[in-house]
Amino acid sequence: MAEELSGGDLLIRSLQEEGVEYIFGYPGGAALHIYDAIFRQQKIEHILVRHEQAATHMADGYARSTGRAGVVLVTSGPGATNAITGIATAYMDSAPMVVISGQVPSDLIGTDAFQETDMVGVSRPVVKHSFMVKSAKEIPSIVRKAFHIASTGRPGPVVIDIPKDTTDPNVKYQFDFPEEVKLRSYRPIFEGEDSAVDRAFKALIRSTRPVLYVGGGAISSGCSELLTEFASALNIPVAATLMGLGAFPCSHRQSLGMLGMHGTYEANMAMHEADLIISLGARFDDRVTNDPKKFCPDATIVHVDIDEASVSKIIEADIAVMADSSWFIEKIETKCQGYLSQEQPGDREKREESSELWWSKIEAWREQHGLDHNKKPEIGKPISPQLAIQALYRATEGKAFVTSDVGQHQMFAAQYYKFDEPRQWINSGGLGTMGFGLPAAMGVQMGHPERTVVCVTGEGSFMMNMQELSTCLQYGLPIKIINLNNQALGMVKQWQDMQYGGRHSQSTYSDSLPDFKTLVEAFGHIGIKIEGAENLESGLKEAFSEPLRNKLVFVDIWVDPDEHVYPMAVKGGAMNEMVLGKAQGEASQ
Amino acid sequence: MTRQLISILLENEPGALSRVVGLFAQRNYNIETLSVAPTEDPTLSRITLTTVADGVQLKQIVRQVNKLIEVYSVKALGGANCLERELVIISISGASSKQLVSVIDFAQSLNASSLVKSEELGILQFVGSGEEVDHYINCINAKLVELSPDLRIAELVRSGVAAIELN
Repeated sequence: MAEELSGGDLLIRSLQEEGVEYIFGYPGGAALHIYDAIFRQQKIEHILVRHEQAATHMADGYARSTGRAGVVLVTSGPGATNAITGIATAYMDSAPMVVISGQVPSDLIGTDAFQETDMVGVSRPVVKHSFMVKSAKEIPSIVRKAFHIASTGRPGPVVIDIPKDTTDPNVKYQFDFPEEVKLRSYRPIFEGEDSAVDRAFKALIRSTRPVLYVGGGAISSGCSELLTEFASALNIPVAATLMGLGAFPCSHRQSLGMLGMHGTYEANMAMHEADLIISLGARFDDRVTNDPKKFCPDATIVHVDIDEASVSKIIEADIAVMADSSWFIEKIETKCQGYLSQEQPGDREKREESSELWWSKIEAWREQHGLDHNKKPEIGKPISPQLAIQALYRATEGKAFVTSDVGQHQMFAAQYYKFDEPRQWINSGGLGTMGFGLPAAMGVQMGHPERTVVCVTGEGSFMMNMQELSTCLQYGLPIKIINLNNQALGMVKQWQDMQYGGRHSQSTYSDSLPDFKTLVEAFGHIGIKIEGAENLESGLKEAFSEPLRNKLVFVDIWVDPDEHVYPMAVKGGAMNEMVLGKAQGEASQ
Repeated sequence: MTRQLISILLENEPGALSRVVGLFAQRNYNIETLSVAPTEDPTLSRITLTTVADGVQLKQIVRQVNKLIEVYSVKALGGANCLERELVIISISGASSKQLVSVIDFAQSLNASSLVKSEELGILQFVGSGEEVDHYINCINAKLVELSPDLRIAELVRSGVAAIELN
């Protein structure tokens, strides 16, 4: 006979059945029965955060780096509302997450009780789905459904709101964890239509200027290996969105790097001049397309996405493929192999010729205005942030997991750290959440204890969640924090330079910045301050040295406060319209 | 931009309706009319709503609604493939008894039925397509003005559209 358990124990047992390793959470009144159940077991480790927002970002970092749903536990009221920013972040970037919130007892719901918030209502616009527990006996099946919904189809966060009375230790039910999920109205697609793949393949064979445009969906589908094979076989250039970096190796000859607002010159030019765009798990975000009316004027658009609402939402697809990217790539790769094995020598010559012509154009763009990945330090000048990222790339041999916050440092990291593996680059692309970087890195480190985890941040973003330095000490997380300190809200300042006549309204605070070295030391960690380009390599070498391997090291790099991120899309322009440098940026005001 | 009719079958669960309505607000779609009730299968509810959208927007609305976990199916109905009905109840007050009789007779000639008729109050019910209901209301208004420039409909309640597919 199955054992009888209280609601709190039913919840924890169900999480164990789901294979949960960590719960990122913070206790409080409405969640205390659950916390008592956590105390009674050893299988799942609870990570005590310092703020609920950080708990959600940790779960998010864990989820994005491992592919498994992250789990958050918060109490009702402020605990729940503090989690909202992190839930919205995960929602925008399609990260699988299950957020459990305590709720006031059922008989108090609706009475404005102490620490009462309508969590299901407040979170509704930013969750994939949510549940409100009515009785303890529903808990196992709700947990099963929540994980299924969070992790399948287009992944996303799911909230389970649990009134305190349903976890009462004195009310017990048999534990019976359902093997199958019964959700007749939830039928995520995986396979698309073969005829759409046929049309896409024919368009590809006809095309002379194709570009693969890959987004975060390509990473969650796990199609990187197949994608690399496919792109290589036909020598197709690959451009990635901010979320798609790493789906195709950035150091690969065919990688054009990132596209979009701060994308590379060659990626944006190639997109604009392409005659065929194959989009994999990307959603034609406004930061990519710029003015949709001017987007890729000559291209046939093949749009592959598991979320049919993303297809043709912004740009009408000529060939719509509602399917998982891995399914599509496998199908088209098979067709492609079949075609290549029977290709007439004349046809091959013609195809290779047109491909060479396309690549010669791309190479010319790269030559003309591509990113300089071999910047040299200029002695006596402030450190350029781009140089700092390049030095970081070398110091970590390109193998670190890198999380970032939001702003200039995020764009520099995306441009200059060549991500060769999927899931290696983790940032808040959709919502653009400052304060994401450090807690996300903590979640990544939990999921990958043996790997080097770096958080590239700026002093503005870092101060939004720096209380988690304390959590890092508690759990011995040896994260390396690279703070590109420009003593300002750099991206805001850049926009003010470019569009507001250089009026720096509320974007500077240099007189009141803390001494970060002393600050992190007070939290029990190591601080290193680097000033002057000549000290960059040696400072980073120390940060990643063997004696500091098990330590959290905060590297405060004082960078050029006046630097801008380029290229930058011209407001309301086409993808081929970019500001390439400061002189042009200020002249175009 | 044209009027569009959308029929949604969803799980008959607490909160399911608010997800659909919330989605419309969140994505900046509007709802002109809305009706909800359980179906022949008590575990499923039917939402019938009308909105104003062009073809591209309609496709997007249908796909976004379909993404909701509790939505079993969603369909855009329209034109000849469906039969739609809406109910309107109108009360008229401040009319003389003679005027009231005249309005009620007129309404009945338009296939409306009279629900209440007293000295000072008349309540009329009319069932038809949305377009027919609009037309009926215009006719009643015109009739009232014809009887006396001061006469008005006192209160008007519309049910929202219910629609059924024809094949």
